[in-house]
Amino acid sequence: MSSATTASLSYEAREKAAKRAERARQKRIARDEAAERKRAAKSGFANVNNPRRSMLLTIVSAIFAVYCLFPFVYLIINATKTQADFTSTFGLGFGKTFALWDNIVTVFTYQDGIFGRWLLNTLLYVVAGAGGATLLAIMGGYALAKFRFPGRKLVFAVIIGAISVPGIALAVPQFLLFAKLNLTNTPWAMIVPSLISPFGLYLMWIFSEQAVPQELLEAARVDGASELRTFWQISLPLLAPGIVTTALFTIVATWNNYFLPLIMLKEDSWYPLTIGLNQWKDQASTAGGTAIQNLVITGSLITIIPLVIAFLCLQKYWQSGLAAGAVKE
Amino acid sequence: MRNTKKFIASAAAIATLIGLAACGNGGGLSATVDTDTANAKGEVVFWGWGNGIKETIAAFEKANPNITVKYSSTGTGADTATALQNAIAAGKGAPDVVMLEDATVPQFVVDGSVVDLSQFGADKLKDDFAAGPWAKMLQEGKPYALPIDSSPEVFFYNKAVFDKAGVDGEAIKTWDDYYEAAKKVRALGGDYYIANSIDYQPFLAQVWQAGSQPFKVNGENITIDMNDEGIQKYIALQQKLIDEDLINPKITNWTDDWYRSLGDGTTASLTIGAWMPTDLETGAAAGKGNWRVAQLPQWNEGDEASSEDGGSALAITSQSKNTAAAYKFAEFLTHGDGAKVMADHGTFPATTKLLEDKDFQSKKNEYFGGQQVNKVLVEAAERKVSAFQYLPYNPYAQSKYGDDVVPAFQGKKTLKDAIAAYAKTLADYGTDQGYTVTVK
Repeated sequence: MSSATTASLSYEAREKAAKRAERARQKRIARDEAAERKRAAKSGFANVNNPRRSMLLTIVSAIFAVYCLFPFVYLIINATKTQADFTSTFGLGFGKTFALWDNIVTVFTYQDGIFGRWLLNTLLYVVAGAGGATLLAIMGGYALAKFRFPGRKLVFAVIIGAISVPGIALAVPQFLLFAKLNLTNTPWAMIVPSLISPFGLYLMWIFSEQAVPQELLEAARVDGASELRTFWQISLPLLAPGIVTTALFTIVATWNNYFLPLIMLKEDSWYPLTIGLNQWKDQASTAGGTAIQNLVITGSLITIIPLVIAFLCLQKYWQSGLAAGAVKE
Repeated sequence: MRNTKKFIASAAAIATLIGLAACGNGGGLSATVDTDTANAKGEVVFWGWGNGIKETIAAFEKANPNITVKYSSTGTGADTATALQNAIAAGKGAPDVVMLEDATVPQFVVDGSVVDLSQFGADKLKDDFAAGPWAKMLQEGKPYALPIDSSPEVFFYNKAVFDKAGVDGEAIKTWDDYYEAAKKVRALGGDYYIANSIDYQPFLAQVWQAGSQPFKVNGENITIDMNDEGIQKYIALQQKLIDEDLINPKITNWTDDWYRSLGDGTTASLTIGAWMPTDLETGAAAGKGNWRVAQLPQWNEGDEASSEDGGSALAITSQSKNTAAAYKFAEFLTHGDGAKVMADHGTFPATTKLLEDKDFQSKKNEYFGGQQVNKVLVEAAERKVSAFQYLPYNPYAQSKYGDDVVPAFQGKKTLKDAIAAYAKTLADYGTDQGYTVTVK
């Protein structure tokens, strides 16, 4: 009994000593790093793993972080309020009641649960539209990067031109075109224009050029693999970071698309979340309308959560994707 | 419906882009209007917004099993008008029945997008509707839409705040009384004001009540007179309120701030249309029990002049292939049994039958401290209205009001200069659109 106590005491003492030693080591490292930064400040050459610190940049970054998080915090706080609290209490303080769960339930049950329908619509547009856009961008970008065919330069010029035309400018001509094809008010009016992503194509082109070595393709051809098989089994895995980047771009663009559905869709059962929420918001500015800002706020919060999750999960690919192709080997 | 920012964003963006195309199309499509309502059947596509629509459609389909109504909730009045313009420009895609703000009816009549309803005998319904809303349906004497609601301008006030300021809301009979009350409310200090800066539709409603007739439209000829006696009276009063810091320039209608100030009483009164109770109950729930409604102050003691603010109506588009069923539905919702369903869901009705209903009038409203609100509103609806016309490019006028006139409420220029500039803006636009515009 007593020996056990002594043993555990000495074990604790040892643990303490180890912790102390570790703290001392950390302190030493910090001191050395500080000294290195100081030297770097003088010489002008910094170690990339120990960059110089800038108070100014830290403050600017902090301000930017607050600026970015502010709307999110506002949404979270106000999603907990009832409609009465929303219009009677301070915007950044909590209300008299905590109604978050009620609000969430009401969002999904209001107007016979149309919010759920809008959520599914948005998912459909994202899967079919953004998914299709990503696939087309991968295949097109890969073909442009790895094959030589007449008209490549022309395609390049067209893509660069297309990137510089804002999508909104095309929405009205697109509407007239789709009306002639009897496609307005159908999901196709949302999906087909979403399939085109000039920026994604350009990104995949540049990425394929860097990420897939020509030698590897030649080796595959020598071994007798068909072009399709080379693409699926050899190139595609190499392109993964680029694909995630392109997918994130197109997903965000489709998820947040507002103007296109605004003019294409008039049937509320085909609305995406953006248009549906806007319509709810407008109830407060309509004569004889029922103000439901609490549902608009809660709905908005629910709307951005999938995007936040997508970003958090795919973040690391996103970063490596952005950096890929930055250096030419 | 009445959010000016929406107009700038959507109407200006889309409507101006394809406005040119809209001029060419639209007309002449109504050659085959089927008026055989007795044998109507098939599907009716309906665009609209607001409360009670789905219930009304259910009642209609029950009464007319041969007709189904496909309803799209198209957002606000501005959104719906823009969507209709787009469909007209595209040459297809318009619904059979469309809900329009009263003020936008003329513009769709002018370009031939909606059909003359006297073909269905709608002209015979004149006496069944209140005079104010009915007058807005007519173009050259013919009805082109059926009114859903009547929207007389009335005076809502916060009794709790008025009591604190020593003002008796019931005793405000003239605009002079209103001015005196404004001073007392402002004396409460803080952010207490009798009103906030005036929005487009209340502005028109109040110059209308003052007897002004700023727009006269006769086919392609428009006369804009923003300098007549009525408008001068209006300008003098508002300028006095602005100069003496008696109206809050910082708050705009339909914003969250606005609702907040209505809830806590810092905006102590409203001069607005009779449809406002539902908006108040939900948007400014904190003000429950404090609000009351009264008749609009008059320019001369003893007068009973009224005017209309907002309101909406149903029209049948010239693209409709099923006009008979479309009319049957429009008639049901506005004039038939559907009007009662709409009224039960908060619409302030336009038919005299519903307006004069005893139960309707004696209904007590708890939000208004148990006041018999409908009685006051009905009295307003039955008052005389002078002749008044909207511009055939009302959405544009609405979007420009914020640019030209609102700065005057912020003290950046005088209201007189602002309104003169506004008249010029409207005239220039009308000329660009091919109208012959005279400015007085």
